[in-house]
Amino acid sequence: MKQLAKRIPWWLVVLVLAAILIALGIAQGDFQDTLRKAALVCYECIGIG
Amino acid sequence: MGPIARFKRSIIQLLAALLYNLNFEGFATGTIYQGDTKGVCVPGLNCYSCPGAIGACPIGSLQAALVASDQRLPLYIIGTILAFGALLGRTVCGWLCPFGFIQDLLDKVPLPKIRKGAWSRAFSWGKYVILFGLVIVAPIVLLNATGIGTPAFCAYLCPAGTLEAGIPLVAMNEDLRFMLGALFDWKVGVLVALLAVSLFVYRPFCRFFCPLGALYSFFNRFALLRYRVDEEACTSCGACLDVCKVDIRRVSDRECIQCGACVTSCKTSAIRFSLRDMLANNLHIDGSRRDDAPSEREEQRS
Repeated sequence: MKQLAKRIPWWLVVLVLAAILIALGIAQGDFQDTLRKAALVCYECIGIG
Repeated sequence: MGPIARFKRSIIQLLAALLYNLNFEGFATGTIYQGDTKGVCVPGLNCYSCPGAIGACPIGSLQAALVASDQRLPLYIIGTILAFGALLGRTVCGWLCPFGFIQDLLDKVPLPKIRKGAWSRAFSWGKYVILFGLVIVAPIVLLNATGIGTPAFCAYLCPAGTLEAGIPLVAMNEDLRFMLGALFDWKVGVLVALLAVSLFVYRPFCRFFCPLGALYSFFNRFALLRYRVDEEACTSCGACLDVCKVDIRRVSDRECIQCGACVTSCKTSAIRFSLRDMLANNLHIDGSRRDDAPSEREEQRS
């Protein structure tokens, strides 16, 4: 078991954590929030707001 | 070396920039894309208000989420950044960032270059200050009269937003031109200054200011795609550090943008791309050498 844990690379651990966070984020409506913001002109980004 | 191999990184950078900005119609009409893909972040710094953008900027999305008044943790954005970091690390900076590509092109202009040194190493901490100060803290702390936070990095610094979104949209929309003021002048000034410095200093924005590069730097030592050094083959001659244009202390440390310039400088071929090694079945998924795999020297002998 220890050998197996040693063999699991950090990037894979972080990737699994990332997948969980993305799923939780989508469930709480983050994707729609991102889409709503990104689909409108961001006045701060263009130097007006 | 053939032309494709020689310009491989530039070609991939160009393709990435095109892929992020497939809405060509937007440049002609001065409007931005509003389809569902706008909810998906691209790995590089590419403003989502760029008329061509079909995806979201990770830093812009992170700031927008932090600005929102509901104080909910932006799990989707954090997860997306973690995923890009785990898979790519700062390979994004070297290969997949449109603003990095522009600076690479400016570096090719034959002008005297200011070499890296202790000064640039000190300035390289600036991007972490910007990440925590402007991207994370300011949107939560700096509230306007209506209680909404300020996306300080996008509003006051981001040159990618000015170049990719501000200038094209303002050029195409008369209504926006009437709204211009000191802030736009400031942002254009920041952009011009950075582009001018890029002629003499290699990638100043990426090295000293970019909060996305700062985020990805935390993953650089263990990301799936990165350059690895075969410690058995390495003679510690320092040729890789000499040829590198950024402020690395060793290959794939936090400053390394994974451009691969060091590979050809290594006389013992000790630096190799992780994926190429893995695909050749010489390494385990964690990067360690398989017991049954031949060593580098044995391979060279055969």
